Amino acid sequence: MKFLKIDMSSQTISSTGVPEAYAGLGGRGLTSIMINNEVPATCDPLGPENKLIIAPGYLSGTVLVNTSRLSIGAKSPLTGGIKESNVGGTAAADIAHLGITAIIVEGKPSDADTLYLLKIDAEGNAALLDGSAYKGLRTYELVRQLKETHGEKNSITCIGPAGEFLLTSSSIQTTDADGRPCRAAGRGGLGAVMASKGLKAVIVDRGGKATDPLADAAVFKESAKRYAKAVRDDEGTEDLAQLGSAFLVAPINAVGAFPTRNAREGQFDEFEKISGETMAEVIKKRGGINAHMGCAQCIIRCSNEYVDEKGDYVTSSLEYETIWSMGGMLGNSDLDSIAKLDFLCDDIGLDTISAGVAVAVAMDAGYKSFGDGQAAIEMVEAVAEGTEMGMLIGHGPAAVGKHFNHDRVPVMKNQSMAAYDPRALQGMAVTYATTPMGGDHTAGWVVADNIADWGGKLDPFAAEGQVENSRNSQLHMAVVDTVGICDFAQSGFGAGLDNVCKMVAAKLGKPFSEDDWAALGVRILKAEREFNRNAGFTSKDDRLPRMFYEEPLPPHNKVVVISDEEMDKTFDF
Amino acid sequence: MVKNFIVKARAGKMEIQVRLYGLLGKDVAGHDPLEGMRVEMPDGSTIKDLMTHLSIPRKKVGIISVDGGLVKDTKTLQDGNFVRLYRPIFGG
Repeated sequence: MKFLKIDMSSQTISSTGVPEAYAGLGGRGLTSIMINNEVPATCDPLGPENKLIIAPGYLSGTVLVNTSRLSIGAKSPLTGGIKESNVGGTAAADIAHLGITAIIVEGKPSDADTLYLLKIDAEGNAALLDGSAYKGLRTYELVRQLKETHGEKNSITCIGPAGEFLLTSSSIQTTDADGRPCRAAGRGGLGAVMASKGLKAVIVDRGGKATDPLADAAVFKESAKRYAKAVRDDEGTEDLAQLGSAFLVAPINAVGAFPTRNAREGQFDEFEKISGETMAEVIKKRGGINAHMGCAQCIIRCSNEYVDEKGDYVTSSLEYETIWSMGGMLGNSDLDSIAKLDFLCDDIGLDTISAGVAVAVAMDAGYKSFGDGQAAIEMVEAVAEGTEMGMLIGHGPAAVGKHFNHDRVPVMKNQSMAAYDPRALQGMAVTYATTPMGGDHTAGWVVADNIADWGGKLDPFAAEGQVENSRNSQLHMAVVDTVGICDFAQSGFGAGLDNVCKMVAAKLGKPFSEDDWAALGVRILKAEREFNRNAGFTSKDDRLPRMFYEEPLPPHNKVVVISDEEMDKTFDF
Repeated sequence: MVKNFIVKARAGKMEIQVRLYGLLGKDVAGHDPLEGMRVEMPDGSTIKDLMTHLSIPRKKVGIISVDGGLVKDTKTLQDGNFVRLYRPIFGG
């Protein structure tokens, strides 16, 4: 249980115990509360006062399945507000196995041209190494070289050229169970923050044996077993394995909420060509892999390995969001080009969601035609080349919209929407507008609550109940992101929220009830909202762009009907 | 072709195109994962009848659409309908 503080101004490293103020925290709860406490809200996100905090979840590294989730927090150069970006792979488990609660990267080298690697060995000893030889490298080549030098048994968390160019849609990539940098902490431009601190990669030995001891290992083990059983028994686990998150393409399109051609329509006429079913079949026929394990200790295996017609590797963990952002949102029905775009973004270190929507805005503005997958590939390649268009795409849809003076830019707090149109799912309007994170779908995923055939009780076209529901979802999710449980493994909560609370208590050595869970959610959202307020955000920032209030979305032809007054009730606590 | 149609119509049967999503089609004989299947049903059949005919338990089905529009399982089918059955959702 320790903090590793990396001062990039002096290139010194210190190790401290976890202060009482942060006891019992991990993941997003830790990063958000720390940022609110220690980062001046009006600071330059690319300056020395910002902190980049890398924290596994509170339950990461334990025997609980599906907990290798890493939270990376900072002030976002994209939104100007607080950001937690969440990613799978193996790094969270690896860092937790070394008994490290958080890696806190502070300051900034005085020489902007220096570049470092942070290496943490199997004993948890950390050192800064000269990284100048790796300047400008794309992530796949970077990982290849680092493994050659430091060995295979390392997780690597790194940035690509997009981060080094300080682009606000740059990601931080991390390696999956196969050692490929295909897992993305995509949202919010944290690649730029990492680059601004002169850090190219964090190399963590995968052989740590210093996991924090549990106060009651026996109780923990019993609860963990119940959790895993609930995940295995859930009807949806096998679908998720065989089709990945891409299973969402067909049903979200069916309900008319699949934003198509820069959100001009809610259904894509060619959705069959890019559905999860089609993707799984193509992968199977070509000898790729479905039901692929991408993250440490995962029992769902929602990842995949997409290959080309010759059976050669194209990309891994091709997700619903990317199939949407590079497919439906561009009117692009060519799955092979979508897979290639997924790879390019991972390799260049770019958020696929923001990059796809940036391309969509460019197409909507007439720069290129919708449906032109090859043009999309060229625009993303341009990011790595550093051309003017590349810089615009790399900064995201708001930058592209401004450049073309275009009025249809689907961003909230400057961060692009995700793969659910708020006009067809009013609950998502509340989440997108009010989450402190900006246009973020996982912050409060209320999609199922808005679909009757999925057990939802809310009318997807009405305002009633939406604010309260989104609020509750956001509060709950903040704690899920704090304990480090994977979003897709929430089926494990079928064994009871109290069962998860038991595990927190069994590690903490103190009682932790469902009331404590709820209170922690409130504490985290309050900290995030406070930071944003101090950074200059007002209720005017909890709104959607005009297009969502004024432009009816086919086929249902509805607009967002949540009033400003109702939006402002979301966090009136 | 036309002759077959007339014969079928007289026999009180209709032809439905069915596409099953998620893993719904895995245990349904004759269902192609990309093309779906053609099913012959008696006139007046509902979606419920179709699911019974294909031995798909009701609880395994979430969203239902006919010719692109969302419907309930009591919907009566017509000849030439394109029925899509989707899985329920789970988790977050």
